[in-house]
Amino acid sequence: MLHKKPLPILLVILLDVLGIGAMLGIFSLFMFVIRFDNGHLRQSTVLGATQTIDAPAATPDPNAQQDAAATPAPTPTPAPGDFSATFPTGDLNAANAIGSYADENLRIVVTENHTNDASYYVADVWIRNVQGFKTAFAGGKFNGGYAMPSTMASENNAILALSGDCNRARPAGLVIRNGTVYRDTLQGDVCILYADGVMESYYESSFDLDAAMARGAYQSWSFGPKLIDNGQVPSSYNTSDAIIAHNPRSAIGYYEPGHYCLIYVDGRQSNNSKGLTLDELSQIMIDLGCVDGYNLDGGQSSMMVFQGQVVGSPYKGGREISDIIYFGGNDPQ
Amino acid sequence: MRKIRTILSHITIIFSGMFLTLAILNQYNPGMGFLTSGISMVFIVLFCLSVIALGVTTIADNRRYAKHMHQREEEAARWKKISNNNRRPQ
Repeated sequence: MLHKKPLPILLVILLDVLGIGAMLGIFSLFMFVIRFDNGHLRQSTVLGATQTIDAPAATPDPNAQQDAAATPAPTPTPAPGDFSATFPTGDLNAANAIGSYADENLRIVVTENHTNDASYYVADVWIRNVQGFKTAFAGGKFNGGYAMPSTMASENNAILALSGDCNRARPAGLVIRNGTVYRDTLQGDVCILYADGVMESYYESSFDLDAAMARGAYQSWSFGPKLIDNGQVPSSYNTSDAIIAHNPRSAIGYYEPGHYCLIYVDGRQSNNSKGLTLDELSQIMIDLGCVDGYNLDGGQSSMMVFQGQVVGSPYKGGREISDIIYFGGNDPQ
Repeated sequence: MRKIRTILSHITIIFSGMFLTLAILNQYNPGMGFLTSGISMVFIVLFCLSVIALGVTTIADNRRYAKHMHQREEEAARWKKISNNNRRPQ
């Protein structure tokens, strides 16, 4: 029997490498383009089932008028998610402020800050009602595609916007947005904004999804890691060394119900700002007075937009992601 | 059989290269779930099946080769015995 002459070894290696590339292409196609849970809604509105946040702050008693002089008026109990009692009034003042905004439901002061290695921007945000804390997906729906954060901010007429957790890039991770559960699987640390305005972040191992749902989770993010552990910089982070190192960053911090901060960090710019490590970011959030903090999708995904202007210098001008956090502008769809 | 083994060998090399790439990517961003997603599991199962098929065909081929060599040795021994018996006395 006549044997065929084998192909040259370099050609065989080249064909195998091409095969690896083709398989990675097929993998990416199924991982990122063809999604089997496209837009599938897991559960309808959480708030509708558990809490009503549009309830009036207090129901006036019709007989109270008669006895008004005799007995002092009862102190109204604010409804969950109504922060009118703590919503500040007066002038907006802040050192290093590069911009501010105020109306009857929203107050924002954006400041520019520097460390030896990085420039970062802090947006201090007060809202009167938890519904003022908004999120949006690219394309207007879950798994609706990717868009620049600045484009999403513009489409929603946002006063302030920050890149989110880019949930579409991962096959798992809890996604609750504006009271609606879109995905109920876990991947990494979780941050929850509850309908009463409390924000808490959890280590993946200690998170109880059912308890969070029962408590009225209004927004959730799944990127992480958690940045503040009992008021301290965590001893370790539930993420890789590459993410722990200096990077451009987006993060969200919590002071009290109705009072939050969004942080954007310039990075990967050797002559300007190489970014912050997670330790540095945690310490900054603690110094700001945050009681909880959570890291969002960073790197080239990081972008903050304030009143239509991109804040700082996003790495390579930013990139398309799947979602944003925003304040002001249109109500979520 | 040899052709099947060759194809399976290339398939396992391709899958291995793919998973090495995914393992490196996973080091940089474990949040993407390169090794834990549903589609990764499908590819891992396919990889395992191709490795099992390659292993089975290799073992079968080796056994057949060993059997063939054993038969040849037996044949050689028999011919040697016959030739010894037919040798003219000195």
